[in-house]
Amino acid sequence: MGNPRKKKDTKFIFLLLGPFCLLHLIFTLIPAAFSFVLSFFKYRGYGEATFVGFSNYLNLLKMESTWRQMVNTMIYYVLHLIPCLIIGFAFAYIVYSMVGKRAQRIYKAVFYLPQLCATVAASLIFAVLFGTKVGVINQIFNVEIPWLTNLNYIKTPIIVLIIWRTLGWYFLILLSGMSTVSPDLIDAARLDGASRLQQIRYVILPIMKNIISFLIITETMSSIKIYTEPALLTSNITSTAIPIAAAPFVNVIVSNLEGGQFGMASAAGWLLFIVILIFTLLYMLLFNERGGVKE
Amino acid sequence: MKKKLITTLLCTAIAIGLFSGCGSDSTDSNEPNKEETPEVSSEENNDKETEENTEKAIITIMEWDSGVDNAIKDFDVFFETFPEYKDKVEIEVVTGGSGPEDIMETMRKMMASGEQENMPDIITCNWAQVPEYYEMGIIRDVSEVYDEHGDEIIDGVVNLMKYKDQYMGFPAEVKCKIWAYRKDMFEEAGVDPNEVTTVEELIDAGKKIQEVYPESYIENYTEVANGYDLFAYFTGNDARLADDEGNYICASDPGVREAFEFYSTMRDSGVVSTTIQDFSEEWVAALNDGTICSQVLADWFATNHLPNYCPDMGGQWGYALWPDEIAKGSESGAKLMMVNNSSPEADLAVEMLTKFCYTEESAKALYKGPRGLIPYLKASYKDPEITAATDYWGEDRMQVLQEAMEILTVYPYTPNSTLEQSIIVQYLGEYLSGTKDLDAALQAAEDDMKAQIGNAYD
Repeated sequence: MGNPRKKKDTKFIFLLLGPFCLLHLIFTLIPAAFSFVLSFFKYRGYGEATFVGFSNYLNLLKMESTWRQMVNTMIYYVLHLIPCLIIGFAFAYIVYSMVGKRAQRIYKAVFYLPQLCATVAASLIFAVLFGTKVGVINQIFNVEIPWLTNLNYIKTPIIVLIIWRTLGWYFLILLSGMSTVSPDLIDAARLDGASRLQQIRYVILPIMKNIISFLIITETMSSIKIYTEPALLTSNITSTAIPIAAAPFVNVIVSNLEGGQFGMASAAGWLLFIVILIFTLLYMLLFNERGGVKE
Repeated sequence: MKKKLITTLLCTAIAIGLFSGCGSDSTDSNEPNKEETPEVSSEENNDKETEENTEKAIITIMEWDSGVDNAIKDFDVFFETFPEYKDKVEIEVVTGGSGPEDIMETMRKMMASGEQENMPDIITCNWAQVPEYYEMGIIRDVSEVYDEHGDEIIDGVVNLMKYKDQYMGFPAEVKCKIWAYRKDMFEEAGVDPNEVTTVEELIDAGKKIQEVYPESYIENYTEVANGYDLFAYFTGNDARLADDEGNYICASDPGVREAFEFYSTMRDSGVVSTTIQDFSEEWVAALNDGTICSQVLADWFATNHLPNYCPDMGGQWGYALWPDEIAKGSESGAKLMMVNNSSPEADLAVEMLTKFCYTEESAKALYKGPRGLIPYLKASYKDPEITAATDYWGEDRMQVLQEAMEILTVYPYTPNSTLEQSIIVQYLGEYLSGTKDLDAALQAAEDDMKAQIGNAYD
């Protein structure tokens, strides 16, 4: 005979999870399954779908532009992740250790502000900042670098824009993580003669491991799907395509969707999913993160 | 227990709320709530019927962002010209995204979900999307309009409205190839654009201008290439990305090769700016300060943008055709207004659009309206009120426009043109930036088209 209390709890859990699971099934899992099936077809959204087997995947993999766009994504990902982690941590440490609790609130708001700014607006502003002749950046340094019109430089403003937008998020999460470090531990380390760097290395970082792993994993998931910033910054209102030199991998999906190649777009989507999955698993392995809560 | 009950009630309420939100559609939301409607007497019923009979028909037009305001302005002019429609029709302009590709994508999705009846009554698109709309089979064939009015309309425009066996719609904007230039600067440099007949002479003209204005350019082509520039050139030299069977041939097509070389030659010659991008702040500044003294582009640039970007330069800009050897063609043919065949208001939409585009009253009113819409009727070009100089443009404008419309041709777009354009433009950028040489860029473009599309007509 089962425990009636446990039975009740199970029912209650199902009740709480039910609506989410149902919505997730309808709006995520079923469309995902449909897109997986679609990735084996050539389909324009109307007319007949033709089964093409793995050829959408194979065609994507043999295209040089696919790989170049994936490399661009990785460049955006790595070149924003590392500076954001370092600068975000440095700012968080400065604010945590040198600013009072009340003032911290102001810093949190100030650093987080760029996240609240619409990407479209931010991109327009950056397009002006990085203009060749009228751009603020070039005028400050008295140079005429065609940041947005020369494909050798075009990634730079995009990376700066991504860093500007995401730094606040890193700062906020890292500062919250730092707040969980007991001041007693830092005091003890200081009494033992540990320098600031040693305090960070041996006390703060080990305690913040879970927060950092959470930050890296969630950022990996979202930044490998990056599209908006490069798209808005590199293309004017009537341009036809993002240059390959700047296009992230998601552009393969978008251009195929716009071009009516739903099967190819689905296949590209699933390739991206695999890449994100590999990165996530690697990080989980690296941080010894198994998920869930320890008993 | 109480907590559980409250939680249960809240969860149920949220779930119901979410599902009711998801389940409703536009049709449902327009229906009156029967439960809440009180019973009405027969007299009241009669009143209601009369009210319904006098209700305006709503015609929905799907435009892309930049066209929404224009459409509203144009139809305001139309209603003033034909007030009889004011009481029976209401025009509702909705945005379908930032460009015709977005509208196309929306239509594909609506087709995929079997919602043709919910599509807008009038769909706007560029010519590049026409073959795909034709394949979809959702567009009303308006042959009867052209059978009746064909002789009154400029031949190039009539030809432009036809795809295969069907007349697809009405011109919202014909995209003639036009060379807009600064009259004062050209005159001072002794350059007459009407005498420029070849690409070489175009470059020479640019050099002559630079002798007088060393910091001035006759165009601007950056490595972030624009599709409209490339396809305008394509129509001038019969370039083709795919043959009639749909096989991609861009690596071997002489026209495509020549077009790529044209942009490279122009950039290398020093007469075009390689850093100023269209529609950027710098572009607007350069048009105003003479850094850019001409645009070898299309009428839409001169008509829609110049007076807005350079409002104080009335009388300073002139119109000319492109150099003879690349003059024919168009920049993506035209922007069309097409009628959804499943629309309950399709007949009314066709009737209105016919009057909108092909009556002399409307043509004149729209030309004199806030947007200065170009007329498509032959008779309009004999009307002194239309051919006369305006505050901004000289008399040369209408004359050149008529000539440009007579040599209108359109690139042989395919149902896959959106993706083809995207690919070829990307590789033009690769070539111009020196990342790939000409052969490699063209071959890579062809390979990408074969891999992503297969056959152009599939």
